[in-house]
Amino acid sequence: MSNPVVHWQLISREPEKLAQFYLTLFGWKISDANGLGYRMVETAQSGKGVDGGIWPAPPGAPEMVQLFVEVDDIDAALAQLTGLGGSVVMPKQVLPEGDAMALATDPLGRPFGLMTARR
Amino acid sequence: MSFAVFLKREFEQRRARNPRYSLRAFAGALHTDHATLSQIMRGRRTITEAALAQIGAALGLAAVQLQRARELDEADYAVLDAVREGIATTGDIASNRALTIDRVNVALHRLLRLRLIDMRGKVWLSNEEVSP
Repeated sequence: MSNPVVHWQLISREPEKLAQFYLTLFGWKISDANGLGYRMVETAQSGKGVDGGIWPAPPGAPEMVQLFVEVDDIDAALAQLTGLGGSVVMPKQVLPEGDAMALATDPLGRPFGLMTARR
Repeated sequence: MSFAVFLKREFEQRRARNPRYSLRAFAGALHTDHATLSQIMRGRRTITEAALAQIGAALGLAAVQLQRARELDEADYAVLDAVREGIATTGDIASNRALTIDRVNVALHRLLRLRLIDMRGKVWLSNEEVSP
């Protein structure tokens, strides 16, 4: 299992402004027509690249990028990362389209996500 | 300021059960004086860590509950209340509570992190409804 990075996420206090910036700069396709109103960003329209998203940050939170890694078993990965010095920020959630995700931090406090694709 | 929101909600809940319940009585229950409590609830006085611990203990709050009380603001509570009322989708919560989708999503993320809600596919559930 290669556990690939399959998604990235910009956390922003001004998500709409950021969406417009990247839309204008790169011409990425950005759509929030989904159950969460989540701004999905398609960069891989030519078959190359990784898609991502933009999520609102609470006031005062830092601007950041999170990487999402696809794993076979999120619960097992969360248990393993805890033993390695990481922390669980948000346990596994099943998203409207059937994918599942969780949030964690590495031992230095850097947040990242875990995903499993809909099965 | 968020803890002030929590205190106001707690006070309102007590008044709902007993309309004669006074701020002075609430202050007494929290082992503080009503002038100090009034200032804290109006956001005109910053609460110290020691006072926070004291009030938390007086309310019987566990550490995790105290952390929730410190973090949630009015919009977060509005979203939490909406989920508890059974309003289950992000868009419906936004329109019901007159919040933007982004603000609802900020609240939902915070509530998820604090384990107050859970997500099951297309719906949000308050934690009481989530199986252990």
